[in-house]
Amino acid sequence: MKCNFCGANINIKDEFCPHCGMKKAQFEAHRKDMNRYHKEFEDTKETVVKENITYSSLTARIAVCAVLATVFILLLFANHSSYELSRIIKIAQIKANQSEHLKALSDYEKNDQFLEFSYYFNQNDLYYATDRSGSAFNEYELLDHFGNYYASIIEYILTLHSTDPENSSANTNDEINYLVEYYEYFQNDYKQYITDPSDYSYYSDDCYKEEHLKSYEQMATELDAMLAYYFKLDQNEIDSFPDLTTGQKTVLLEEHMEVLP
Amino acid sequence: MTHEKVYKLLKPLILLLAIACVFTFISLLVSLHDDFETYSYEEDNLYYYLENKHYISLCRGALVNEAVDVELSEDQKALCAIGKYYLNSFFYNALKDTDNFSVAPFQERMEQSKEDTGIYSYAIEDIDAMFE
Repeated sequence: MKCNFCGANINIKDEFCPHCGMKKAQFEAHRKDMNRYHKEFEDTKETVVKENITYSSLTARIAVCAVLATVFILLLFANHSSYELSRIIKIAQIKANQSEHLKALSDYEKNDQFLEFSYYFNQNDLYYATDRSGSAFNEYELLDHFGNYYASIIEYILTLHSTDPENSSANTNDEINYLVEYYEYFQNDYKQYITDPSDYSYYSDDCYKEEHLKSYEQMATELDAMLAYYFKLDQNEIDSFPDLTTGQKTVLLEEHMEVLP
Repeated sequence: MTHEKVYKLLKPLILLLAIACVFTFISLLVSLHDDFETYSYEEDNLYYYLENKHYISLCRGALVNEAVDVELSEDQKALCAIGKYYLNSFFYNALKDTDNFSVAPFQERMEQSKEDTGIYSYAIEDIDAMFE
C-alpha cells in the first residue's frame, strides 16, 4: 500500500511511514479489523469445538444405548429359548458320549435290568437324542416308554410293600390307584404298539427288533409276576386281571392289601 | 427437546439397560446351570435313609448314582450297595418260585451288593427279614 502523505510504498503492518514518518491512517482501522476477525475466529472455533464435543458425547451415549438395548433383546431371546439352547448343548454332549451310552443301554437290556435302564435313560436326558431322524437312540425309545411305566409300577409295589415308617396307610389307596393307572397305561400301549400295531407307528422300525420285542414281553410278564407275588393273587386272579375294569382292579388290590402283613 | 436434555436423559437409560442386561444374563446362567446340574444322592441323605429304614429311597439313590456320571465316595458306594441289595431281593423273592424267569442274575447281584456293603452290612439281615 502507499503512504497518503508521501506516496511511498509501505507495509500494511507498519504503524508509521518509514519514509516521511507520518502515522499511517489506515493502521487503526486495520488493527481493529484484525482483532475483530481474530476474535470471531476464536469464537467460531470455540463454538465448533464445543458443539463437536457435545455431539460426540451424545453420539457415544446413543451408541452405548443401542448396543445395550441389542444385548438386552438378545439375552431376553436367549432366556426365552433357554430350553432350546439346553437341548442343543445336551444333544451335542450325548453325541460325544454316544458309544458309552449305547453300551450301557444295551447291557441293561441284555441283563433284563429295566429299572436301571429307565433310570439311566432319564437321568442322562437321552430322550433329547431320540427325536432326530437316524439317531442311534431311536431304537430304545419304545423301551424307554414302557420302561417309564414299568419303573412307576415297580416303585408303587415297592412303596406299598415297604415298612417305611413314613409310608402311612392313608396313602395306600392313592398309591393303589396310581399303580392301577400305570398298569393300564402299560397294557393299553402294549396292545397299541406291540399286540395290535396300526399301520402307522410313532416309533421307528428299529424299536421292533427281536431283542426289543423280547424285552417288552419280559417287562409285561415280570409286572404280572410282581403283582401276583406281592398282592398274593392266585393264578386265576392274575390271568383275568388285565381284563378287569379300573374299579375292579383297584378293589381287588385293596382287598389283597388288607391281608398283607 | 434440546440435545442437552437428550444427553442427560441417556445417562439413566444406559444405567437401567446395563442393570437389566446383568439381571437377564444372570437369569440365563441360572437357568442353564439348573438344566445341566447333575443331581446325585449325597452320603448324608443315603445314611439318613439307611438309619430310618427308608430302603426305597436308598434304592432310588443307588439307581440315580449309578446312572449319573459322578465320583462316589467309598461310603456312598457301600450305602448304594444296600439299596441295590434291597432292589434285587425284591425281584428275587417275587420271581424265585415262577417258571418263566431265571433268578440267578438277581442272586448274583445280591451277592455282589452284599460284598460291597462294608460297614453297613448290618442292614442285610433287616432286609432279608422283610422279604421272609
